[in-house]
Amino acid sequence: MGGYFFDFGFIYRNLPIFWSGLGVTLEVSVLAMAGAVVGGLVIAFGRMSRRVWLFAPATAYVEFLRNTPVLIQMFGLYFGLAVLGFRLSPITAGVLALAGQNAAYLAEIYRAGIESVGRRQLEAALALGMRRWRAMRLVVVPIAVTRLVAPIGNQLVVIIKDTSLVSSISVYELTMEGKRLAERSAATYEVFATIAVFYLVLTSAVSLALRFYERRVQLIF
Amino acid sequence: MRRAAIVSGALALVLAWTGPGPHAQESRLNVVLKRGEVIIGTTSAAPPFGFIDEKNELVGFDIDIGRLVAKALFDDPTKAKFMPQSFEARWASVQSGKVDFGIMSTTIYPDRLRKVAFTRPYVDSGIAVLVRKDVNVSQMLELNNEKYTMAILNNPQSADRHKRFTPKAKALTFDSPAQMLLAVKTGQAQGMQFDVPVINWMVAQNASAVKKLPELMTPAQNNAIFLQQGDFAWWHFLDAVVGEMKEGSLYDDYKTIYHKWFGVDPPAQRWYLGK
Repeated sequence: MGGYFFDFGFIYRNLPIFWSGLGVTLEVSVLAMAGAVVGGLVIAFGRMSRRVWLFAPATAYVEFLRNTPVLIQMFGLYFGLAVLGFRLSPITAGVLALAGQNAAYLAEIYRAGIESVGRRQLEAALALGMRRWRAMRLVVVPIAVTRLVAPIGNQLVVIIKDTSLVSSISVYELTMEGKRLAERSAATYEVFATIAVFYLVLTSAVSLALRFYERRVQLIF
Repeated sequence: MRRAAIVSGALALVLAWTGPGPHAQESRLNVVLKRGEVIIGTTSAAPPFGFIDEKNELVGFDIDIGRLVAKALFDDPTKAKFMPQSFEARWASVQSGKVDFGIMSTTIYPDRLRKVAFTRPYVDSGIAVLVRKDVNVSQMLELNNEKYTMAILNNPQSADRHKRFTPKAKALTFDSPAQMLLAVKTGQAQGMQFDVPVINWMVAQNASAVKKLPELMTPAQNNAIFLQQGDFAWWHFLDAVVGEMKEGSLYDDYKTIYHKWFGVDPPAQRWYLGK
């Protein structure tokens, strides 16, 4: 019955609402990405350590956070800790949950990349008289990085998309603003199509930047 | 020969696609009657309108009203298939035709009427306020203070009421009343506003932790069945059935359902005859 009237004017009139949501989405994305990239590195070295007191907690961290849903972790940080008297703000709880789980994923990506470089590269560097850390820094990690850019990029895109989950703990990001707009207006198709385009632009920007970076590091090495 | 057949076949398809205007389209009413079952979009997250009970069954006021519509359609209240969905999915579910209509604690607003159709209201519900008992507040006015946080639903009317009645308090926004109550119970918020029957239900279930304030934020809240726009026969059927519930042949059924979930009788069948 009666075809749906797709109202472009509605989108234009409500652009300020979408912009403000996009700002918060950007903030959560950048913080969560930074946390995950750095945190993942620390955990990856724990996972590759031969010392049990480093290896065991790093492994437990990765297994626990990879194998439980990030939404549940978010609820745990926001509602669960509140019962114990730690009242995290919605944004803090959301960023911590996203950074926490993605650090676990990234740690595994880093580890796989570094271990894929092969012992002979490291042994050759050691034979040239480099110390272990110097060999890692100058030989193994640079080679690993060229292989890792693509999978890290994938994970960053996942983080951007997962920021939509923080709306469930009261963060006014893009999805939340969109849902609220759709609630009032019943303009479901206009709102969700617009949100999808906004996310697409964000994730494409990250993908493009990383592809550019990948080409540069490949030229260097 | 073959090419001619293909061309005429394609032409026939194009004509079939563009030819018959909206007049030829069948009303959803007939589609439902032929199917022998009505598909209803509803909520499972807003007791007592729609929720999952201890026996893991979907029950509630909206569910029983949906069954009453099935009874009006098929003389059989069991011919209703309920599709529980989130609040943000409700518009698309009727606009796309996935469900025949929606009944899920949904209020009529002019902005919404531009995109979906509503019947007349089947229940009038106000907005009440619930607070933690350990917060020393006995009137709504006292909540208007920087030290308090209110949980609100993610829709503009909820935010508007917050701005009007408790502008100094902070607001936390959630997608469902269950999450709002969780925020109050865990202390992330001190109070929340929601439909009176839902607040009554929550207070009854958590009487040791929360209480209801005496004043209402709004005394009137028209909740109605919503459906796709542009189908007169289907809209008229549903609207007239709601009319029959509130003041006609289905009033006795309606009264029983109303009393079952809200503990009080509905407004009189004839307002001018009083009780």
